[in-house]
Amino acid sequence: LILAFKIINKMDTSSKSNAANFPIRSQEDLIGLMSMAKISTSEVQPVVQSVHFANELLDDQVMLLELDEALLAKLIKGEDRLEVKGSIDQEAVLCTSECTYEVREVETSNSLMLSTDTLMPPATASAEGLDGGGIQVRRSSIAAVKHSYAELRRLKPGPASLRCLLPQSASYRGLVEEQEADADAAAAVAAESPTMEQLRTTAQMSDSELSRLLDSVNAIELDGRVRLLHEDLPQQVLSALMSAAVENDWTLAALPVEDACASLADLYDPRVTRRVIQLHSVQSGVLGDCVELDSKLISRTFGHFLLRLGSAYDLSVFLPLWQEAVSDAATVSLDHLAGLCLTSSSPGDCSESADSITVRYFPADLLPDNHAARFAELFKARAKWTLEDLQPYLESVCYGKVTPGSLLARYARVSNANGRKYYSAR
Amino acid sequence: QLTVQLPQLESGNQTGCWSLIELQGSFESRTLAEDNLIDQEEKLRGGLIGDLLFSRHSGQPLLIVGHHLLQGKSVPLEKPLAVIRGNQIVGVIRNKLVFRDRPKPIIASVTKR
Repeated sequence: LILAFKIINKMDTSSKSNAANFPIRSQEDLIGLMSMAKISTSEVQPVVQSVHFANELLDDQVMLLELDEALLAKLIKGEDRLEVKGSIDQEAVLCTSECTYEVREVETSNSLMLSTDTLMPPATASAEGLDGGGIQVRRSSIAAVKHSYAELRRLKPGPASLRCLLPQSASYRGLVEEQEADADAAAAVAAESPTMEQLRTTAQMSDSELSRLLDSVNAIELDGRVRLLHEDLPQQVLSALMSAAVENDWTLAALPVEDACASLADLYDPRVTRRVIQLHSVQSGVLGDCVELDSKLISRTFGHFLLRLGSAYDLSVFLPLWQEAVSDAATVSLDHLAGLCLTSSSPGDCSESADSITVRYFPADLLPDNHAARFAELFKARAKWTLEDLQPYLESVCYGKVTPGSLLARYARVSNANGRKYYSAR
Repeated sequence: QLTVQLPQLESGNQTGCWSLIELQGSFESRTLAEDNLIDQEEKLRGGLIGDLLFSRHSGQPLLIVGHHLLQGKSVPLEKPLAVIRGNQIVGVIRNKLVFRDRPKPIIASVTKR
């Protein structure tokens, strides 16, 4: 629900409504009061205001929210808006189109008195008809007294909060499974899967963060519902695409999207093929007719698939296996699997022959968002880390002032070995 | 769902714009009542809080509350405060008058009228 904004010039609590109960103080009253306080009229600006409580206080109806100038400027220009997201039982989260903030209340023991009709200098410096001195008494009213205000704290939403809203049980498994599902099963899937609009309003993240995370969890919108793709699907579809490319003499650097989807139509729903192509294309955004597939992303998907299959591999076995799976599409390299796997080489170990290194599945996505908990898991998996190896595992919880450096300063201990810096638990 | 949108009004020194006066303590607190500053009853009846004056040359705000004189200052806010009513930003506050110093008692002298 978006209400059109109104320009609010005056509060309902105008001075006139108060007059019946409290007539305006007279000049004499004020001058007398001022002389008792040893203030002469020549020492003050002519406009003197008798400040009253409004007849009806709006303490519960107004809220103070601290905003950055930059954000405020955008809101004023209409370049952005603030939206509350989440469900009723969740903590309040406000989002712009790009960023997510939690709302925190800051209490003060002071009284914050709000008014819309109190004049400030220089408006108090002159009054009609008073040139040489003397005062003019005005009435002003306090519309609300607050003892707290709200501030925004930036949050970085991670895939975990999105996965809560996209259950595995409703994930899309394939053509056959979809067709074989009976009416009850299909209805259950639909019931568990949000529409895009529902997702947009209940996921506590900005629209652009939602878009980014939907890509990172391999979600797809089908028949108005958002669902996860089953985790084996991307690799299967890619394999089929690569075969079709060979058969049809297509290059993965300029893949004709419609033809590709059509050629796989017996095996895979064309909408699913399109989505997999989109998830692996170099360009983000809307798919063109001809798309360049990103060899690193292809490599990553196949590597991910292999890692999930086994518990640990000797690197000397894993690399050729992986390369074979990827064939011509890419030259595999462990950095394609950043944030997905750990190698067992101990730092400072001089014998780094490939035979002695094993690689195992260790996905960043399954780590806790809480910083302390995340570091506990990381150091449990491996005692010492280089910054380079740590970065993919910290990336999803870093934003703004929260940098890998600031996190490490807080949660890790630095040591040196062989001229390199290593981080371990405190 | 709520959307907060801002009206075209910018804060300034004219009526209709929101301003903020900060007083140490609360109207319900005993200290203020003890100092005879504000009667809690007054709050409910649209009663008088005090008289606001500005020094002619320095512009320093002065507030006479009950039998006390409070000297304050105008302070810019670190970050602007949006005043929100319902789902709309109805005002923006960038400065406040703060009265933090110890109130000075005003001694009523007997004068002939």
